[in-house]
Amino acid sequence: MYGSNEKILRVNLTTGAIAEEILSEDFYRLYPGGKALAGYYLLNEMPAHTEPLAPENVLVIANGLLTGAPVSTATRYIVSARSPLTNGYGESEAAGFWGPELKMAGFEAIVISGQAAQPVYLWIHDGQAELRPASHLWGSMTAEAQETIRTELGDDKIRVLQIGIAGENLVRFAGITNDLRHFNGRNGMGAVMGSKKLRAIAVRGKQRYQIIANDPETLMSLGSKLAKAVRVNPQSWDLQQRGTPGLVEGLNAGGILPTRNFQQGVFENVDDVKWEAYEKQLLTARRSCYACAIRCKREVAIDGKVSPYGGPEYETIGSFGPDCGIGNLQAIAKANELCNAYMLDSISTGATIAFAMECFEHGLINLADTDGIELKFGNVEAMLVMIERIARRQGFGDLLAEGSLRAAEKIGGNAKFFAIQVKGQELAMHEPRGKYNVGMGYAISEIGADHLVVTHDPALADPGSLTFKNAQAFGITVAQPARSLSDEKMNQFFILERWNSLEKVVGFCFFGPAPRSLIQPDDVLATINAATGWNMTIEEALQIGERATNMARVFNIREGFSRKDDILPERIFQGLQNGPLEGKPLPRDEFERALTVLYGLKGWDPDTSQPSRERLEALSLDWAASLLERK
Amino acid sequence: MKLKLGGQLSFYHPCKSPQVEVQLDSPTLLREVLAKLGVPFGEVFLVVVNGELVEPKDALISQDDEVKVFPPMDGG
Repeated sequence: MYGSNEKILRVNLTTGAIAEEILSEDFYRLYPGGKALAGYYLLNEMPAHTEPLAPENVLVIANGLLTGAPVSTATRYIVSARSPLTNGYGESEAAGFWGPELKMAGFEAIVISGQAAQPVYLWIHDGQAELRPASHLWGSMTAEAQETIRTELGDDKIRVLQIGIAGENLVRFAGITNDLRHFNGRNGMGAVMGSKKLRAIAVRGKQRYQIIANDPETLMSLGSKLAKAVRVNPQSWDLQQRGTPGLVEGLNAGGILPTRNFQQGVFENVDDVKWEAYEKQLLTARRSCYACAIRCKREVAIDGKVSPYGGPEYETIGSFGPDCGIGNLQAIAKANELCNAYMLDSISTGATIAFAMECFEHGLINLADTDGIELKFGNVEAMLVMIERIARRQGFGDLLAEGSLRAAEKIGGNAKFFAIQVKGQELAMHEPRGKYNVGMGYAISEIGADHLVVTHDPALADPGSLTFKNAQAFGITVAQPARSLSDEKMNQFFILERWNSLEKVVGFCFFGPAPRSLIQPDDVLATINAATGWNMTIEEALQIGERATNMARVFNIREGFSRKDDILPERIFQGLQNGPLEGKPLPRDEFERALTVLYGLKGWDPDTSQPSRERLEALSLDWAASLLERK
Repeated sequence: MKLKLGGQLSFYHPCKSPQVEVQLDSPTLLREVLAKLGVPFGEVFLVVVNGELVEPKDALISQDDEVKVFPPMDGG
């Protein structure tokens, strides 16, 4: 088989056994990496109702089919397990350099089961793998642990994926980092690694991608063409100039910058957190992921010193800035650094602190509960202290380490109204009241509120937009308002969700392929086919995406999830408090009607959201239908 | 008139500058101002004139105005 190492690595941490497994081409064509491989192994190897932090949880780390190919934005790998935050199918993607390094070391994926008796780390190099003791790394910050691993293995080019103290302490939204600057933030995958006492996976590989590619010359030529296209594409150029922090001012202008726990959509101190302030106060350099010409990552200085942890992305600026009522970029950069040193998801951490601030301001918690910390919106010191207390599970931080939903249930009263989450996972920093399909994505996503399910509505609202022009290749021909849940909008959702899901299977970043960005569908398919020698069509690609989504849905159905879980926080069905969308809710009746329409398109039961046997069979998931019938 | 080209819109300016000064002798439709600068109007999603959000296609601009235009902002 071309384009693949044909091998996965199996690690049983209870016994210490390590084995290789060969992937057949027929299997790989149905499940070609990332989200698809993860869904397959989770459903087939994890018993139903496995506790997320029990040894029986299966942790899958899977490269996309194209991860490591010499093509811009094809760098992603997925980490998947049952989520301790949502209790459902869990996944989180990251880019950077670790995934390509795993590919060069000879493996497509790692399937990890069991629990080590003592902390360990996994060392993978050129087709070899071994477990090594990690007690000396336990309790250390991520930068220190990475340095220690590289020193003791004698190679400073080793790529280190790891958890931090937050994962060790089983914080339910602990993440995973690679190279200190790239993150599998969401869904608490770091806590799953922590429960297994697996601190890190260090990787080094010297194989070149071209050796396994079917048509390396075409692949190189596509890579070169796309690298040139990046320079003349306005969206990619903007990402290179400003990165995601460039979003802040425009979202605020539209009244959709989540502010003070999603109460408002306009932040009065936006000038203190917008790009121009970031460039002036923080920026020291622009950085990249493997083989990517866009270079959207930022490097920053905090208190005059360059941080090893990279600069805050838009999501982090949003969650620790406006969402906490804070207009102080140095403090936001410090919060970002703390999250990355302890390895917490910066979205859920900021959003959970914002939740606590609103509870405090409403008197649901007081100074006695918070160990004397005045958790008010805008309090920088309180925000920074809480990050460390969450990571170390100290005092009130121990409650917030459970995530906003569980904390709200303990706090009682109407605290649950202030928990801005879906399925237990906090919303990302995108206001669904101004982007209805983003809201639908939050609600329907199997992993809880996820902002990368479909292209964001405003980009498809004007027939003159670059994104809309790109979308015509997918049969999207009628521009729809951002604040609409029409049948046509649901039709577009269904198309875009399958395509985005494909991106999560093959390893592309959201900023690579059309319609969001510049790589046209024909070039996506040409890249896949040059790598593998296949003749994949867009229909097959969309089916792969749909198959992956359906496996995640089957996982959740098996765990008792239903339509009632595909819902938005109550606050979203009420109006915003300020700005252009003041008083405007996302209408609940329209949402429910649209959800039924969408289930119909997906072949899912309108009451339970269970995929029909007929649809699963059409996706070659007969085995998953049988699995549900046995549940 | 002070004009800010938000996000990718500044890509179209010859100097790729987000801040532009435009001389207007009389009130002019924003779409005409942008056309002269080479900024595709179809990529403009939001228009803010003197701090107020206005309908892009109707926006009439005068010399003393402060104008910001933004493309669709999405996530990542």
